[in-house]
Amino acid sequence: MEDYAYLFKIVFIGNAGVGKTCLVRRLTQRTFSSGQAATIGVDFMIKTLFVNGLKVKLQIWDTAGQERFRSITQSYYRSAHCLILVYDISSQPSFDSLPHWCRDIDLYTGTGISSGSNRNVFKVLVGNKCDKEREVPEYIAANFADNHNFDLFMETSALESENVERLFHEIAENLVLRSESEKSNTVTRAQNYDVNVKATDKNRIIKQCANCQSL
Amino acid sequence: MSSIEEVIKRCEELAFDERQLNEEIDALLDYERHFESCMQRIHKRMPKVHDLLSDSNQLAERVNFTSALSYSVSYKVRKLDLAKSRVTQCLQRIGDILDLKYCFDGIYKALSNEDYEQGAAHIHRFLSMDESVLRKSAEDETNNGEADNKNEVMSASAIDEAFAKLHEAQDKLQSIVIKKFDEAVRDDDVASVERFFKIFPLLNQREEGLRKFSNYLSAKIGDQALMKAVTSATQINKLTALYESVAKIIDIHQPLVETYYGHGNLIIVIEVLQKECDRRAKKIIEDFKNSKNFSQIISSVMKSMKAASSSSTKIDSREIDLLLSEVILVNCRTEKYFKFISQRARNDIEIAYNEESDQKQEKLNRIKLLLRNCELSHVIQELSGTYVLLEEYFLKESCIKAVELDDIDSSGSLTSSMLDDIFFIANKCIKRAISGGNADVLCAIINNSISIIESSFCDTANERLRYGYPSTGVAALDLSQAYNALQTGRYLQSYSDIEKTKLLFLVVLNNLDTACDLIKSIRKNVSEEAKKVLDDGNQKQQTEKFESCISDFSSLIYKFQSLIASGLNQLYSSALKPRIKSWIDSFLAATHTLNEEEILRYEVTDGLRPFTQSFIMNIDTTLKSLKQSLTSNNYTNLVNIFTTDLANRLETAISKCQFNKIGGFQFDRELRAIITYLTSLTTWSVRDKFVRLKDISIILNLESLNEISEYFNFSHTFPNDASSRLSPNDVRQFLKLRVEFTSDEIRKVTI
Repeated sequence: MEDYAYLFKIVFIGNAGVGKTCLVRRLTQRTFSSGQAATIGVDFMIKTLFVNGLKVKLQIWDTAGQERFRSITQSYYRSAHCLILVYDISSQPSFDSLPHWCRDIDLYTGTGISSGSNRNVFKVLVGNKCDKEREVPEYIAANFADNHNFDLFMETSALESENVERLFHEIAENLVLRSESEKSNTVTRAQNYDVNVKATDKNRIIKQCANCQSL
Repeated sequence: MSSIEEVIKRCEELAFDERQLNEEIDALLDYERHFESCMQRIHKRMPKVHDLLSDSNQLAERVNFTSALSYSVSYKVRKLDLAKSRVTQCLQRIGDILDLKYCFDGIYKALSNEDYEQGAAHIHRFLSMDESVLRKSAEDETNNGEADNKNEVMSASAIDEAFAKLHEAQDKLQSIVIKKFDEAVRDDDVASVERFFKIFPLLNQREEGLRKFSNYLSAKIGDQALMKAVTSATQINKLTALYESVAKIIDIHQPLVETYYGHGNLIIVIEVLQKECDRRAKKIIEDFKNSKNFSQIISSVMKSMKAASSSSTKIDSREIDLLLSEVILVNCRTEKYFKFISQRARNDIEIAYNEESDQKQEKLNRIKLLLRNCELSHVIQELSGTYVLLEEYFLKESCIKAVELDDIDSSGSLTSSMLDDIFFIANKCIKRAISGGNADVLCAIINNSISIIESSFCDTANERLRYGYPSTGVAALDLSQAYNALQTGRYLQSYSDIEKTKLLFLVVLNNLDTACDLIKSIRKNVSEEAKKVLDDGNQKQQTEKFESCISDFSSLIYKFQSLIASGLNQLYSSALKPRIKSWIDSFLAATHTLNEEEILRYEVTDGLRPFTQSFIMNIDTTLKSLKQSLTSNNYTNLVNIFTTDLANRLETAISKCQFNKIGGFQFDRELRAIITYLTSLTTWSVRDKFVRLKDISIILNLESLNEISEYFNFSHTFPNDASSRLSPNDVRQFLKLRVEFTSDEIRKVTI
């Protein structure tokens, strides 16, 4: 059943072995396994959380970092509401390949393929494994995030569960904020959106009751 | 004792005490009687108590005695039990020793007779004995009684000797079996290979046997594949032959392994075979890539994808089309092969371990890892990656071509060629991806198709909608439009150019509308077909992924519909709105205080004033021509926009006019004519848009103010259609338009 107010697609990208799958596992299953096998193709998970009392469904796409899956994973960039680019703070090489990833993001989300997709994707830079010995200073990464128009930068640890919940909460809050302002801005689309909003508004109260029961 | 009162009081107290004492004495006396009867009973029973004491003493003695006795009995029983178990052990050992002797005697005979099965059976028996215990008991026996040596089955030294000999025999047999097995492999003597393969488990050499056998089998893969390769020319056929031969080998030898080595061991064989399969498949796929100029194609495709428009050396998309079909065939075959392997290995493990255990989980993981990490799957993943890349290129190039070659069929088709072309290509690509059988690849192709369909249609639509739908005359082109047109070199000079632009505009809207239907049908077909391919248990996540990707088709429809809506509004504004405006202007300019004579004059023109008649006629020509060149959806929506706006504007216009009774009557006639005309246009009812106007026309047509209550009874109005009806205040406002009614009269009316 479509029982949520918002649905957002979040796509994880970044070099192989920086801990994308571990971050997703930590969030959705609250577990951590050190011997995580390399992801094949794309994995898919759902996480629901509440932002200002609204039920927000996050569709999380965990992509394989290895080069041979690149063309498959790139096909998800365009429809994503949020792209999370992950690097490993204990590995300089993983940080060094970020510009390459940024080029890909621009190519596959922006004007590269389609001028029809005008929506700005919410870009997040995440430095994972902050429980390990640091090779990439935080201020350098923060600078990088500023220079490359990232909307959010955060350092996390999937192992110690640091900042993981916060990361997703901030993303969800920002995305909700964004689509709400989008709604009020675009006049031509307002009518169409209106129908959706009304429908969700009506259901909202019922939804929340249903959630309590299920919790 | 000072006063008489006190004396009396004291006397009463004493009397009371006395009464109480008497009662107590009575009670005590009663009790004594009871006491006496008790005493009597005790006296009666006294002698029995003495007996009881002696009886119980006796009983205690008895119990003590019995317990001592039973303890001694149970002790004996325990001893007996121990003795019995010793005897059984002893018997078993004697049996073992007898067997040992038998084996010892038999083994050399078997070896010399080359009866290896018999020999292995002896060794198997011997290996199942507990060697150290046998040796120990033999030693004990020697220490205890040297005298009875004659009657022994085997002496300690004989046992030692037997063990030594048997170990020797085991080693010998082992080396013979290995040698013979190797020989048999060399001679390709299938019967002997299988014969010696069966002996390994008897010698406790399972791993060795499986390893050797698997090596033998993997060598066989080569032979079989080689044999078929002679007859098959293409790499795909070679690859298929390879997969088939591996599958066949597993299929044939699985029962053999299961029977002699038990369940759960197939994976060891598969692991060895997979290594060989990896090696050969990799080679074939390399050959395949080389023969197709793969790397060159990819690098030029990558170049042209990144450098958006600079078309240096574009590869023919037909060539890529062919290549893609072959690549997907490779993927498809491999996917099937992996499915087979994984199923076989899984079933084998399921039978071996009934309940969930760590060991079972470990073995299942081993299969998963084997299939994930084997070289073949890496090669195939790489190939899938390039497939997705090439398919994207093919889709993009073909769609660009379809847009370039876009043409409108002269045979009265409402849509242009690019609609069918693009959906044909998208359908083809998605179907091809489905046939590959890999969910990730399919999802990627669906994602790409959606984005390419979106950009193809939205880009052309946006471009054409930007110039708008031209009004009839060149003069009507507004200044900014003309400026835009000039800048882009598209200044429209001749009449036919305008007609063409009009047509293109309508075709865009029709394309979008039809595209929505096509998207729906693609979505339905694809999900049905993909379910057949992807749906085989264990793949719940894959189907979820697929569902999520395919739901993006819906957002595409939504996007198209909003484009259509803005297009239709443009069309309405330039083709229909001016006509409404000029009619409203004439309506405002005309007098609505008419007399009988004037009314009669209009009878000639069907009871309509000339400007209304020409309005209907003009609208009719415009709408009729639009109806021919719009899809029914678009036409209906356009009429909908038209009617809504007409009703709104007319109502505003009316409130600026003055009517007399006859003027109201005339308006009523004209309104009816318009409603009848509009109703004839569409299948659905337009009447509900005119509810308010009809009410207004009733007011304008009233004979007297008293009639008002016959028509408007607000107490019965339902609240939910209030918006489409007149409020009491509205009624007063419209009554004021009538010249016959003074405002005083209107104020007095009760509504």
